Amino acid sequence: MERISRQKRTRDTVKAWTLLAPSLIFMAMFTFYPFVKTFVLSFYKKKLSTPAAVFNGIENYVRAFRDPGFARSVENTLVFCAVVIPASLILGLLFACLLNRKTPGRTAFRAMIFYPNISPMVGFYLVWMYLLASEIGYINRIFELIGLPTHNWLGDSATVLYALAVIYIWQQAGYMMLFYLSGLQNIDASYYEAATLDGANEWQKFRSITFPLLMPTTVFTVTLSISNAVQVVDSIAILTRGGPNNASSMVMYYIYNMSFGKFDYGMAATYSVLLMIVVLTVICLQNFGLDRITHYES
Amino acid sequence: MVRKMLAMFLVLAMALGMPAMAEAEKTTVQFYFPVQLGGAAAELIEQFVAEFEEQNPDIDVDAVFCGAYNDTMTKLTLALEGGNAPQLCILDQRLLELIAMDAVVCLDDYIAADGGDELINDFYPVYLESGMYDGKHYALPFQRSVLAMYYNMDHFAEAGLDANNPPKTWDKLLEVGSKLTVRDDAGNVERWGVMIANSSNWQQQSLCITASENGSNIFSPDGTEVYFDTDAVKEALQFNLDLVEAGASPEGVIDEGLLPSNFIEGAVSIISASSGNLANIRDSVDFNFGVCLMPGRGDAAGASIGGGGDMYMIKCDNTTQEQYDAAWRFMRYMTDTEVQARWSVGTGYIASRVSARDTETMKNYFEEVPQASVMYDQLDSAYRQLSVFASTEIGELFTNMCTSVVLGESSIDDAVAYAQSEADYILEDYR
Repeated sequence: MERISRQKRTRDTVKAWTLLAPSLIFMAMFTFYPFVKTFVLSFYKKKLSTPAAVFNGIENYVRAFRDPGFARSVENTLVFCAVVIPASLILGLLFACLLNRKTPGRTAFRAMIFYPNISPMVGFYLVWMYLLASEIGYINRIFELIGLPTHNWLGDSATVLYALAVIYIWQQAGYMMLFYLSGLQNIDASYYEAATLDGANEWQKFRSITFPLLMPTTVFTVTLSISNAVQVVDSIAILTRGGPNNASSMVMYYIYNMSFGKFDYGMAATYSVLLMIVVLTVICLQNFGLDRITHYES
Repeated sequence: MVRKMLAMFLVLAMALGMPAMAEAEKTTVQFYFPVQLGGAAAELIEQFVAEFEEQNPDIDVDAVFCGAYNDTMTKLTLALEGGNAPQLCILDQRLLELIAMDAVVCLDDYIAADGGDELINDFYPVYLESGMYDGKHYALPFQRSVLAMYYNMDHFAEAGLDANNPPKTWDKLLEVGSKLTVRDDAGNVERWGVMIANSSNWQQQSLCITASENGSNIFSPDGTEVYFDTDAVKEALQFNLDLVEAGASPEGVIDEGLLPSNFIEGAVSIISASSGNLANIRDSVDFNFGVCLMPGRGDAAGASIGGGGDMYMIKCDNTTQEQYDAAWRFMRYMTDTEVQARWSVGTGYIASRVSARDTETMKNYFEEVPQASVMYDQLDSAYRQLSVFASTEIGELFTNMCTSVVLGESSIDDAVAYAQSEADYILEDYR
């Protein structure tokens, strides 16, 4: 009996690894291997003027901490995340709650809210560029009509980051809404019935039933949100190229520009490693923190 | 059965072998090209390639479209690292970076054997400069441009100004600009008089050279020094502020990308923009517009900048001598007078050959589009675009210097001093 069960165990293990193999190979080639190479490269000096990499020790890391451009990018990223993560989650949750009931046209609304997420963003960014344009932009023209102050949204260091944040929230709220919708639909209706019988109002229902039971979803969406917000590159590349004066340069764009604008691969690798360490730390902290107050239905 | 299979096998082998045999007689030249101006340019390139292959049946040109200049540079660096670089590449003016990578072939021997001085003297000097290092030629100008001013003649008439007499000096521009700005009753501006892009390197560079009044450029020819901390640069930056104070230009950053649209919409009367925008503006406006030279200062003519890209011959260990020779023939063809003339008419780029101006193609073009000939006149006072080592970083420093001044984040003296010291620190390695 023992031998049979050992054979079966081995067969099962082999089967499992065979099924996992394609994904593992893909991840090894496109995630693990590049990561290891990047980590190794961060200890070398490799630019246009030194096409053969020269070993540099921790010199790159020392330079990274002294770089004001990078410091500014980090600052901008933190501000950006502080604005967009709560906003897109709250909006996503709000839309999900509103569109979970059988309101007329809710499918159309859901589609409209989610649409930015599946569209080719480059085209949309160009449209946004014209919307936000100072003289001929629609947003300014509408503001003028209704008496609000107009502004050079993308050309002013004080407003450019927030303009990018608005565009990002517009795109991401729909994505968050989707997760919350599925989370909401997993909540047993009997809880709400019981609450109604006990005389609870909408807000009490939300606070005591909906929100706590959505915690697993929230843990996931916050993680996803942080990871996505930190990687914003395309809107900056198309709309502002980091300007004016590094006011809208974020960490990922800074790294991108370092590799493909300045062709300084060594420093870009260094920044990438630093970014990864930070993001991993934040996500771990957040996961362990939120995990404590999450109720999982089991 | 076996015979049938053998016969099929032989036929297959011959079929596969034939093209290989035919190709063995042809030399392949691979050619990377970016497109900065939209679809028509790519189609024209393919047309030129087809015509060249017809005239030179022993050469097969593989034209590879690579996106914008930066993407092309990325692709080229990757190809060089992989050891299979193309033979030719069109790039913006970044000769120094390519020299630092030892990625370009010196063209002097080819030029000497194929036209010598007669050939070289037929290129506009300002366009040849960007391909020269240490007195040697490494590139030929292919898709070049120049900066000029576009103005709305109808707006001039409305403001009581002579539409045939656009401003020729900075003082005149300030005066005319403030007259052209239209405000509504509440004091809000409906239409600005002048917009010069203050976040655009070449536009600001042109102001710096104009301000010097003797054509001094802001960098040394060997690419190791920049001259930001000078009176000329400070006066140029001040001019941006003067335009705002005169009420002719809006405050804040003026982005180059939006200027043509602003002009077409009638939101501004005078803009400075590339010759490359001429075709688009011509097709889109519903008013009379003119092109005029960059305004000067004092008696000196206004400076313009020679923009655009050159064609480089790429050096690679795996490229054979036949390929280099074939690549030269293609390069020669693409920079030929008639081809440059057709390229100019089709895309709005400036033909880099002086003799192109006398061709029938160009003469007809100038009759149809008189504004285009002003662009060519501008070449007489055009200067070399900023071209130094670590060009991206230095370029960013320059842009940040200009924008920090117009945004009021820094005084002119501080901005200029900071940019100079940072640039010196970066360029020290290259001296």
